[in-house]
Amino acid sequence: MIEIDRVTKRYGNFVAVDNISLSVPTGSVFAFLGTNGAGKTTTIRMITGVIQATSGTITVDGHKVSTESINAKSIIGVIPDRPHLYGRLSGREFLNFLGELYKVDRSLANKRIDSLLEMYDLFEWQHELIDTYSHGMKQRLMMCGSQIHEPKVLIIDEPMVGLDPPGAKLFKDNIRECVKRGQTIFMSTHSLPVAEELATSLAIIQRGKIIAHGSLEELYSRAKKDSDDLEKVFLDIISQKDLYQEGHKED
Amino acid sequence: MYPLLLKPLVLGIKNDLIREYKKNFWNRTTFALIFMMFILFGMYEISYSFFLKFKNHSLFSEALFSQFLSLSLLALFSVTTFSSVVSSMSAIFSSKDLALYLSAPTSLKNIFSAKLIQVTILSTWMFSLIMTAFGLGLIRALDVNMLHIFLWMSGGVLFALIPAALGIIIVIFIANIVPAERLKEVIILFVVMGLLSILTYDQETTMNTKMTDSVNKAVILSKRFSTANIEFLPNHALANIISSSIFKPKEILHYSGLLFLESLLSVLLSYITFKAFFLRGWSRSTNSNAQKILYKSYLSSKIGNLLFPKPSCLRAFAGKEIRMFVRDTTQSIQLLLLLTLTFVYLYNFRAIQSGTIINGDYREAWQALLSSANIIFAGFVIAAVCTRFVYPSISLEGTTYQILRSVPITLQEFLRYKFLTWFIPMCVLSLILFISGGMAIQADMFSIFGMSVVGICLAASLVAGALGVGACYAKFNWDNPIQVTSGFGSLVYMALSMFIVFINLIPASIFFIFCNVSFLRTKLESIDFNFAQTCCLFIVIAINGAIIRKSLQIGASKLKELED
Repeated sequence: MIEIDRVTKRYGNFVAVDNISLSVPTGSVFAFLGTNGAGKTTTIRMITGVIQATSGTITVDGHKVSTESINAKSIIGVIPDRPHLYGRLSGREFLNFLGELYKVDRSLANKRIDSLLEMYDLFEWQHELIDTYSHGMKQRLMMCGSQIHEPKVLIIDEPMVGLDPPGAKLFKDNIRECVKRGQTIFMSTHSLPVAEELATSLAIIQRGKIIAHGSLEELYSRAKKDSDDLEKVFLDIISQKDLYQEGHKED
Repeated sequence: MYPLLLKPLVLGIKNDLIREYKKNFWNRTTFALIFMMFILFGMYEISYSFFLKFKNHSLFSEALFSQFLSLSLLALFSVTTFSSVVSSMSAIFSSKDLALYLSAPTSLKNIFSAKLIQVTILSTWMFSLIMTAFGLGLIRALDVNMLHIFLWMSGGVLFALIPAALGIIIVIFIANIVPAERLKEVIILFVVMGLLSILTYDQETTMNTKMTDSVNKAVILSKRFSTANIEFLPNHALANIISSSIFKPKEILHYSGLLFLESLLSVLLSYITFKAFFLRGWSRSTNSNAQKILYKSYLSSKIGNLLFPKPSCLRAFAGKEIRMFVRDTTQSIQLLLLLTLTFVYLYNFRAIQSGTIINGDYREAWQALLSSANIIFAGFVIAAVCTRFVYPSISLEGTTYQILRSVPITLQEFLRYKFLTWFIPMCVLSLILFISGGMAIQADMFSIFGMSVVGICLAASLVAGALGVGACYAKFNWDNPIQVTSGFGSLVYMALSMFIVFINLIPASIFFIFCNVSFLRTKLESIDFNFAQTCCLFIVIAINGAIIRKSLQIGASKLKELED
């Protein structure tokens, strides 16, 4: 469903993403792990067409993001790490606006808005201004917004930030529902338990490069010690890479 | 149908009004609207009376009318172009909603048309209101027919689109050509070159030196440019649409066609530039690694130590404001606007003086009139600068306002520190404008001293007024920074600043009359003129002192209400 082929993103001399290649099959949950500033958000912004890759190609459901961006974007739903919500609009007005933006028929959009607001426990707040929402409510509203056009692919950047335990449970349950419906999930996260619980495959990015890629089992086996704790495996892979790079610098 | 992407803007305004009027009909917006209507009605009446008298005067001719209009529209065109550059920078590269639009299946054409309309409205709506008041006065005085009114309005829209299109082109080129980390140097270079031009221009007009260097050549070119008579400029076309509808209705189609073509061409060029270079520029502008701090911290701390030897809240505030201003491109680029305003002001003022030869007793009266005009024009320049820099400074605190409120300082202290921080640069600018204006009209030393006192007082009260209105209309959750400066509050501040300037004008004008008109001294022998002049200056100080106190008080109470 998502094919990333030798993609690089440079800002002047700084290489934010360095020649990465990934493949995410249809109906899977892909977790994209990495430390702060590793290149996760840059990669997500390139997949969603917000910024352009310096080189390489990204394809979503057969549509090249660089040349068929409108087709690619119309099948993607995005939940950014810091969602921009218009504070002076009500929750319902915002969802209606997104529905129009994604060209969803008005009556169909209204039906979907009703069910999404119910699902994310925001129905009672639909006519309140977004400015009055809590952080978690804003996150949940953005989740509603990302599904208004029933996208084939859902791209989520740091989904658990600001969610309370019921909100987090709701999110995880809905991700499972989406997968059941055949949607593909590409998720960047710092929350290793969430990745462990939901992901069918993972990749670890560090300093713009993919340093590990595969299923959970494959990653467990790559770690130095046999372990079934993703946190240990993650830290182990990251430290191996760091030691390797330091060794190169000393050489 | 407005484009879909403008929907959040329109719905946001609607929701704000509903929320405001749900609480109470007699709210600040109602009072502000009444105040604005009062000011606009005053402008309408003044323009009606002026044009009615002008119509019957022997000087009333097409050439003079169109020349006068063309010159005014050129000033408006240059100011709106720079205003559009600032608005475009904010609406295109600093807008928080662009990531949402770019990830949605919407074409660049839609984004461009929404942003063009947004930039046009944001950079011209205040001028449009003022021009409408003057235009209505003109229409009533000259009995203009409906068809011509429609043509004027269409011409106005086409005229407003050109600066917006140019603003978008300039900003996209800046974002693509100038590396983000070098943008500040480019702005500073422009400002320094501009200031040099103003200074050398001064020498050129007063000393007639030989023009040898390139800066002077640029000044001559800009001077020739400002004659407002160049046919391809849109101000010339719009001025001729208006004047031909009064004098030669047959020529109106020729100028309408010309303006339409110019507008169409600039929008097309702007779209082509947007389509070709926007995404590249956006990609560069989102690069957080490029935002490097350019200046060594020890230099700023040395300057800080010199200005404020002991650590204090004021030092902390001033340091923060200056750093934020210098590092925020959308703010620092507005220095270009400041430069344009100063240039337009000094140019026109010198033009008035050098183009006027009046003899005898009238000369002294004319000198007093010019001194008063200096107060009005320089006052408006400071007000315009305060609208851009001081008025938004409270709202631009954004979400960090919560941090400021959690530190142990009162709201009164918060506003006082803001006031002192902004008063110093505004005072310097004010003194430059008033003294150079005074020298340009060859005022005597005592008049220049009076102008300086009025200038300092006016700068203080305009800064306090900006902070007071800024606190009343504080909005910490903005979608893009330009929303703050182009909101309703800034219109209220503009009206307030007109009031402040005119209330200062009364004692200041009396002071200048006493300074310049010598025959009054012989006619009014019983009056001690030195005492009267001193009284005038004390009245100015008292008026402005009261304005400062009241503005900061109202501002603090409104911020308190916001917290409650």
